[in-house]
Parts: sequence; structure tokens; C-alpha cells
Amino acid sequence: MSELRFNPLLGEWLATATHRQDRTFLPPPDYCPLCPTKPGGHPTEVPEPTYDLVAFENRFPSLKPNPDAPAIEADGIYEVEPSKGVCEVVLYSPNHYTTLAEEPVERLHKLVRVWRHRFDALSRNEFVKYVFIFENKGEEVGVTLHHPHGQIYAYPFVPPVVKKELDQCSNHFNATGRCLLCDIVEKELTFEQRIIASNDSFAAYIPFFARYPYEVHIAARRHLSALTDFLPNEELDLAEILKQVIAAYDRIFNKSFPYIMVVHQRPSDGDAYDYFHFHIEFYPPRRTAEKLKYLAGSEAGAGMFINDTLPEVKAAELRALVEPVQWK
Amino acid sequence: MDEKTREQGSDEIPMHTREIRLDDGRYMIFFTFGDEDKETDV
Repeated sequence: MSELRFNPLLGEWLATATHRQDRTFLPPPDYCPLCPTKPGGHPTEVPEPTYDLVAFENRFPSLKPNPDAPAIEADGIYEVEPSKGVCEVVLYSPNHYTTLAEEPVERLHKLVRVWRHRFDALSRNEFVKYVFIFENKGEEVGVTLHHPHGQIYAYPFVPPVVKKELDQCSNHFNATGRCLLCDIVEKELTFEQRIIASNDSFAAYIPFFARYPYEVHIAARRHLSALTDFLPNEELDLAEILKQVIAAYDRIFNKSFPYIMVVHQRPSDGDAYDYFHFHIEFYPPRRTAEKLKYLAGSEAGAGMFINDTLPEVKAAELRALVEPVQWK
Repeated sequence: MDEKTREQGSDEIPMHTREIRLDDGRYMIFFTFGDEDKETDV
């Protein structure tokens, strides 16, 4: 069963999705459902012997274009809605053992173009108000399938974290006439000490206000609000800086570095969001080679993060690990 | 499975999509890059 329930205390929707308890959990590589189906081999979810990049509807979605009726009726302050939306999986490569960080920059460029295609296509659904592109990497953040992949959720509402950013950006624009992310990028580029990498179109930095030790943000230098605003050279530049950041991540502890990567763009509800600014945020759970950053009492119960490190120090550490990107 | 092919965009390397329907009705979109009659090496 799956439905949307409204939390009147926080003013937020959440989804129940009981069928996801039965989803495939860390299968051995020979039984990976995201690998191509090899002739004579175990049938997977992808019924072809190979592929380049693939996007498809999640087999265990928390949101569906044609959802079932909710299991319970709304009751006064308790609002309930069908879990209408779309959950897609994006396969980065047919190679089970690779990661995005290990792939050539050309594949990241392909991924950026796939993201743009799916953002544009999903945004055209009348019921879609926000298209959210993300990747969970590593068992440390709850990955259940190791095959390199990301996800896209098309929500029937603007989710609360994005809503909060929109409100902050709107308030700043109304007060100053300027875009908040443009000001942040300018401040980080001027200060330099928190910059990880930069190119003609993007800056990557650990922000002044980082909540995680290795929290990197990548923001466009030009005022762009969504992938569909990108020029071709900006797609190339995004692929390049993404490659630099995630490859540097793997060099910190000389092993695959877990992260949550989220893409924040304007909503798809038809309203104007000229004050919002495209950016990507990474939330890596690791704070040392052996220790994780947990969301404990203050973070989970009060919403105040405690960062055990200084962004300026961690940025210097990560910046030293960035290498030039080689295009073929 | 239903199948359709179309080209997306036209920057330096063309991107192509091919959509199929899985047995349970879900869509699956294959992305390839390069000349229309030549799939990108994977």
C-alpha cells in the first residue's frame, strides 16, 4: 500500500510505501537486477544484453502515475492523498562494478544530458510540481543495490527542503533585488578558501554554512534556474566539475566515498521562480576513514546540525585532491 | 513490447532515445549517443 499523509505539525507530506519492505536488498552481483540480461544468464529488470544509459520506472515506487486509493480516509486535521507521482531509476553504466567517480567525464556528460531530458519530460506532466534528481551512493546512506545508478522523483508538491530554499531566495530577492545563490557564489569565489574547483560555468565549494565535513555544493556562475536553461558548454562544464569533485572524494580515504547527491532546481508547477538558482549539493556521511556523521538528537529532533570540522580546513584538504579532467 | 525511436536535440553528439514497455506496463528508455544508425560503445 502507498499513500501520502500530511504532517500537520511540520506542514509536510510524507509517503507510506509498505511494498518497499520487500524490495531487493544487496543481492550478489550475479543476481543484480540492474545489470543487462546476458544471453543464457539470469533475467534482470533490463531485458537487453547491454545498454549505455537507461531510465525507467522504479519497480518499487513510493509514487506512481496511477496510484491506488489510500488505505485510510482523511479525518479532519489528518489529510490523505493518493501517492501520485513518478519514481524513476537512472542506470549510469552496464558495468556493475564501476562508479560515477571512476567513469570517464564523457559518461558524466551523457548523464547530464539524460537528466535534462528527464527533467523536461517529467515536468510536462500536469500533476508534477517538482522534479528531484538524486543519487544515494554507498551502504552508509542506505543503498540496497550496488549497481551504479541514480534516481528521479517527480513529486505532486514542492518538497519541504526545496520550499525552504525557495522562501529564503525569495526573501533575499525581495530585500536586495539580487539572487541569493549568485551572492553566495560570488562570496565563495572572492574568499577562495572554501573553493574546491571552478571553471567557466560552475564553482564547487564547501559552503560557509556546511553541515557535513565534506559537504560540497556546485552552483552555476551564470544565473540558471534549471537544467533546461543550460547551454551546451555549460553541460560540458557541469560534467567536468562533477567528475573533479567525486573523483577527489574517492581520494580522501583511498576508497569509494559514500554520498547523497541532490540536484536543486526550480519547481515545475508553472509559477515563475526567477529568483531561484540551479545547484547541486552533496551530503557525505563520512567524517573520517572510520567514523560516520549521524543525524542524532540536535540534527534530527531540533534541526540544528553540529559540524565537527571547519569548512575552510576541509575545503583545503579536498582542493588538494582535485585533478584536471582529461577529455578524449 | 511497444517500441519507438526518436532523436533528442542536436548538439555536438546527437542523443537518441528508444522507449519500450516492460511486461508489467512500466516504461524503460534507452539513451544512446552518436550517429543515428550506430550505437555508442559501452
